[in-house]
Amino acid sequence: MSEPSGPSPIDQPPPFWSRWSQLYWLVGGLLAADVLVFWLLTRWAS
Amino acid sequence: MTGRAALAWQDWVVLIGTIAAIVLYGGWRSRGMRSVDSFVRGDAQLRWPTIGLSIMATQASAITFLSTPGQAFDDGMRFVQFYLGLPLAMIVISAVFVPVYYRLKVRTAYEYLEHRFDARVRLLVGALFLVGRGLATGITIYAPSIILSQILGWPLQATIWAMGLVVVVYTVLGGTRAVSITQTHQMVVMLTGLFVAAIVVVLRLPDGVSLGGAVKIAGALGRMNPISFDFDLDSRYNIWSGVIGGFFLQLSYFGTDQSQVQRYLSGRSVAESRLGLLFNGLFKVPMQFLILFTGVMVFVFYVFSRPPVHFDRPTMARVEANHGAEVAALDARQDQAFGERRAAAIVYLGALGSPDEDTARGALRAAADRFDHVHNDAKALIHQALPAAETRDTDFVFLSFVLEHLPIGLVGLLLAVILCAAMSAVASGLIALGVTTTVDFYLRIRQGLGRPPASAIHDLRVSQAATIAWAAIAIGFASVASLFANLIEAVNILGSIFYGPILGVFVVALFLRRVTALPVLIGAIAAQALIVVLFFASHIAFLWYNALGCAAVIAVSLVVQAVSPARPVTPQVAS
Repeated sequence: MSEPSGPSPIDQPPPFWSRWSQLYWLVGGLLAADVLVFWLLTRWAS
Repeated sequence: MTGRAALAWQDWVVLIGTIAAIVLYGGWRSRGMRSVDSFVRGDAQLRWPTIGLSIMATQASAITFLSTPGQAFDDGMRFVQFYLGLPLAMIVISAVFVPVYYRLKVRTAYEYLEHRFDARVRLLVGALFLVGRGLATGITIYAPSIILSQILGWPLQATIWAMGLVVVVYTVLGGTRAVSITQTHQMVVMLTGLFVAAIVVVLRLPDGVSLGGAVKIAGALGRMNPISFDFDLDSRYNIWSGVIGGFFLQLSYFGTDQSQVQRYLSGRSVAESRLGLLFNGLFKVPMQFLILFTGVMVFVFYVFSRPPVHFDRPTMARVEANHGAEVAALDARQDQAFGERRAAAIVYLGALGSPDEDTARGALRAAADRFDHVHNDAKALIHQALPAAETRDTDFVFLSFVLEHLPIGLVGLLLAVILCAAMSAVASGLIALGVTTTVDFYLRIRQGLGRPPASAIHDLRVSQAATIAWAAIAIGFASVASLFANLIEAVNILGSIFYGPILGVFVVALFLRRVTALPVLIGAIAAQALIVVLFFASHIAFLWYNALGCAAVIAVSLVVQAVSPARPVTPQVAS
């Protein structure tokens, strides 16, 4: 692995996609999907 | 011993080979440490996959793999809701905490509190962390040692010392870089073992029982309950306590506990640290779901394959020595109850989708109740014969399944998973304790006394010595932990009692810029007193302590600040 020459700036964007908020929505969206799947599973199995 | 008389040599090869390879590779990759900064932050060179896996490995102790499947076996999947606040906490820490820590170039979370308030707040919160984490690290060594010593046939003290010494060697010699690198590989082993176990248990279901059928049986018997929308403050796990209470608990743990903060402060950039945290936010809930689901499938497996009367076989053998007739009678009753439950389960599977489904489900539940009654009688017999013995056997369920029903080689892999989990959690705890002692106390007090800075090597040696000292304390505590009843549960609840006020101090620091040091100190002490009163005088589930403690610090700080004479805000506070 190559090493960078110095620390990155605080507001550096993510290495993929353009904004951190998009990644936050991804994490929040997956959490909502988890809850939905768990709810469907609870209903189906009970 | 549980299950086999001894591990096969192939299992020993897999177990020792896996542990040795991870430790030696981690030690080799982290060679050449020259300063306390290398020890604390690993020269800040870690990439996000390493940080993410290291964060997950720090939280996943051996108890995760020993107790969690057993908990699902006994109580179903509702424990997964405990983690629903975690992804939201990862977002907040990534967006708010990480940039502040990086901007101030702090080495510990408590160093930030001095930037924001003063040295008193830093030392108070740092001391709370040392006490809580020191106790918890001892338990992290002790809890799996009890079970592993019985499985491996080693004396308990030898197991505690063996586990503690291996961890302390590579932690002291390689610092945080060694901890993170070993944790990455330990986590890969854990996830591999977890997937293998989940697949094997499904494959071991009898012919004619599909995965869907197994889930329906688990649902009929109350084990498929990952979501409950019932709002009840006394209920330990529902979506509200998980999302709200769990959010505050995870925010406190990942945002202010040095054992986690150190993981992401060793990233090569802010972006790497943030991604590591979000990686944890993405995969933690599915991982816990898989662990619990494996436990539920083990439960269904034992609906069709007769389990022991009590999974803690060593304890049961001690009871049998003096109560042979009672144990034999229990065995006969369980044999009959097992047959009835199994037959009812087969009838229920055949009735799925038919008008008889409800009737068959009722019959299955009645048969399961009779089976559980025998199990409860076994617990009562243990309590009568050995009053000091633990009667719960859920921690032994998964290991019993592994030892008795997994092929040779995979048993070694699953034992390696448990040891890896124990070592990763202990390593994070020890190095965080050593670093906090050095940075927040030794170096800070030295600076306060006006002493000139010592050499880099001197400070490094102090960090290493502090880590060794904490290892000795943790191992010593683990060695005498059996003297205390229900210690594990007590320590878990104590953690929640302290986390809320600590988080409150950080929330005030980050979001309420006009609040100064004295009001937050008063707020922290008042909130701590409130939580202690609630603990003794109420039935509120412990997850809520985190939110209540945090809210109390904020409220009291604001009130005290409002009635205090105005003071100028320092430039650092403004930043």
